[in-house]
Amino acid sequence: MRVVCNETMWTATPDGIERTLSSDLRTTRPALSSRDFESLDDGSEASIEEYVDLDVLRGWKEQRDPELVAAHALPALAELIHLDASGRQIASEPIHGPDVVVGRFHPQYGPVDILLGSLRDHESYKLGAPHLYLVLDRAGNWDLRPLSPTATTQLKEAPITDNARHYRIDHGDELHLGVARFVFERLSTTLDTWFGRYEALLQRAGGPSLMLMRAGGVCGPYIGLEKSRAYVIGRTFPGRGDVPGTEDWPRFAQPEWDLSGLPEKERKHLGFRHARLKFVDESWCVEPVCTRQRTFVNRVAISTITALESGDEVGMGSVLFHFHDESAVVLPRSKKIHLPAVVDWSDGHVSRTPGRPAPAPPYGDA
Amino acid sequence: MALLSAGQEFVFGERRLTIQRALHDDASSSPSYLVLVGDAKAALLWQGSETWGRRVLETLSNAEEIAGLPRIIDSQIGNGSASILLTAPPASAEPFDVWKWRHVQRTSSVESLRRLALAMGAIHARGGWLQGLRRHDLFMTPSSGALFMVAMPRLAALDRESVEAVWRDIRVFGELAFENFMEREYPGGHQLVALLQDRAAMAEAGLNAPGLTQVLAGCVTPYGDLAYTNIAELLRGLDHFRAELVRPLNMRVGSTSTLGSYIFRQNNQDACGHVMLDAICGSRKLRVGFFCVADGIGGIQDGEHASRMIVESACTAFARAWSFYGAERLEQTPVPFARGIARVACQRLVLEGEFDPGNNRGGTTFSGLLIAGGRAGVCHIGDSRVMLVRGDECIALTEDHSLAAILIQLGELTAEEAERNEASQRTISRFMSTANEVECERIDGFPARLAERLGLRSFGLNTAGIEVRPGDIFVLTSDGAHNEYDLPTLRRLIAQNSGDPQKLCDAIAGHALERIGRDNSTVVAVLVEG
Repeated sequence: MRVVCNETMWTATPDGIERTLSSDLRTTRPALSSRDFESLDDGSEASIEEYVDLDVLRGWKEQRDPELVAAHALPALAELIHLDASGRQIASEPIHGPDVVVGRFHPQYGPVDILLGSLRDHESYKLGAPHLYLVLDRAGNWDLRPLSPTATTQLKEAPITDNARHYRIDHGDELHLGVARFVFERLSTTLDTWFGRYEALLQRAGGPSLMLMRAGGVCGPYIGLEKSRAYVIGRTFPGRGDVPGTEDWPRFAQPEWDLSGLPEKERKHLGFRHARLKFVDESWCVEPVCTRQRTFVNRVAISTITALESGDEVGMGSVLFHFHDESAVVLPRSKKIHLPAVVDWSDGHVSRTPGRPAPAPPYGDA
Repeated sequence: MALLSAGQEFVFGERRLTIQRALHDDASSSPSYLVLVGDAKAALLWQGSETWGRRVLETLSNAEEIAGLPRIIDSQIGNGSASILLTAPPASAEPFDVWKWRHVQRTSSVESLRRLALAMGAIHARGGWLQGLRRHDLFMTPSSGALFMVAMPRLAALDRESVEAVWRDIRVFGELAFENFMEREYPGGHQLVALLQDRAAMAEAGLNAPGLTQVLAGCVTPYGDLAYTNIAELLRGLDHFRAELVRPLNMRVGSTSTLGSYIFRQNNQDACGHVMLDAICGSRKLRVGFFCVADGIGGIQDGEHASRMIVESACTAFARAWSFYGAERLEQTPVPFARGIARVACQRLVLEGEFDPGNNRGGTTFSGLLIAGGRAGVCHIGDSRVMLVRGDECIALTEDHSLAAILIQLGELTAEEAERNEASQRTISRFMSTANEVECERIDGFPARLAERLGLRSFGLNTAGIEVRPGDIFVLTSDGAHNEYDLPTLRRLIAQNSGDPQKLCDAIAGHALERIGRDNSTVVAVLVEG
């Protein structure tokens, strides 16, 4: 049974929006029983690590910081609920920020905030990287904008195609991203509460820091930065000679911030020594170290050392970080979205989709 | 308490019960009945004193997970008497029959005695004891020999776990083991004690299975060093007994990897490997083996390097798993181990990509098979395949990760169209690369539809794996080999080369070369012998 929230529940007040959502208006759907789990057991359900310690099989040990998988420090503002064909919940993707890009990660197009992880192969195949842009505006409305020129999006079963337009999405609206079915649900957190928690979180470090982001918001773990040091961010790796065939590798120190403990889908594109943070010429800079994986600043790939400002988003593979300087709390700025190029293979060269204005310079008018 | 007779009706709360059969001797003060609830559902009805009833509730509450024990459906206790309604054993079970018990297969009988001992252990752990388990308190399924307790008329609190009390509850295990193995009547405790002390008499009686004599000595008397003092010791004895009965399967393996036609291929980017280990655990000999094929992609040198690297690191990881966890753990959960091996092997490849600048490109498919004792598990990424040949059946143990499979899922291609659509067949949707690790959940075990094919429950398929039977042939192939044959051809090749896995590998690879030999072809065949 589904109860769709009545729009009149959202009332505007002079200084913002009051969002009250009584719990009985939350969408409900049949829960899974243990019998369903039997039929769902398709090989991906059984967890390997429940039975096998992978460190034993590796022959070296990954440092997995439990804090990296701890609960999100910010309250969720909304949720995307992934449903199967019969309307049962498969997974829920909480949205912890007011301004998020949804989709899958492709190195060419940069990190996305909401990495949809519960999709099967054919569903991911029809998902854009990125697919969707979701914004909660000051008036308290969620807008969405389709980003992918080739992947399809349906809102309330009607196709939405105009990449330049924003479409209103409400509580309980059904959303089809490619062939995957979702329901959008608002949660009772107000934007003001969210901002309050967000500011408190940024000030926690008490100095320049790089803070891990997840699902659109700073999620808790961070590394405090001292000007006299340089910080390599990456994952645990075996030392030279620790495993067969590594005798002639260069000798490196383990990274200063070890993110091996991140969930697999997040750390997948993170290099073992991914990037270095250091203080050069009166500003903090990020320098790509790993040549295999990309590093992004404000979602634009960088190839050389790049200066950071407070509030910049640093991307390493698919992992996003918020760079915070003590100078000021910068609220998340609204993103300048670049549409991915459509590759026209027949002409043998890359061209933008016709009829769309040329892209603005990256993050110019944030 | 008035005894009820068959056919009589009994009102239990809102339920009407029809007594089907009494399960007690006439002298019992706590009678048990098999009843029908309404018209259809069978259940057990136990009656007795109030103290006894409370003890039953205490002992059997939340006993859902213990096989062989009935579960409480409803109870009425008060005024000095108790009536308890419990779940009945499965419909195929019938009262214990010693003649049928003697014909139960030996391995099954030990297994069902183990299960019964676990149930007994649960009763003891909850502070109860049965004051002797009688044969007519048991039901059994004649085919599998599974035993179920259907009555506990003397259930009481076990104040102190004495050897005598334990012995009274477990001596039936010795009797049942004797009857099943010797296929003749249990001689009685005194005679058996005398027999066990006389080696010549034992040899004459044919009582020489080491596991059996140990269980008999532990159960026959509460006195002496060999007597079991608790259920855990009985379980250990039965485990040894079971280990004695299991004969290790023998595996013979062959492998071939060829370049293919010189017109299409300049080097062999396929790789295959296997490790076989014998482990002696207790008196149980377990053979374990890991077999894999990998098909390199991405440039001439890179593909070759990636496939070789993944095979080497997977075999190393398997050896680590074996040395740390032991063969028995591998046998219990072969699929997580196989998938874990693939997981760490692909991480090794990514490390190579980042830290060895000379070898930082390329990728590979990977299909692995882990056989441990009597169970097998697979791990799979890409379009190499693992096939099980059992009798006349060829059963695919993996599903290709190809664009064609995605397009079929999306409904954009039918299975027939996909057959002809070579581009989508040749495009793989998952592989191991030097750039990104593959997450655990994207490393496949067995496909869900395999359970249906083999007539198994899908639950647990991807932990405990599938059973390996004598005569099974496992064939691992890269696409260069399996794209060139169809199932009838494979059957013919197997029929012509049965009994020699190396010949079979050569025949399959040779067949691919005879056709076109467009790609490197690699075959590993494992023949399981009893």
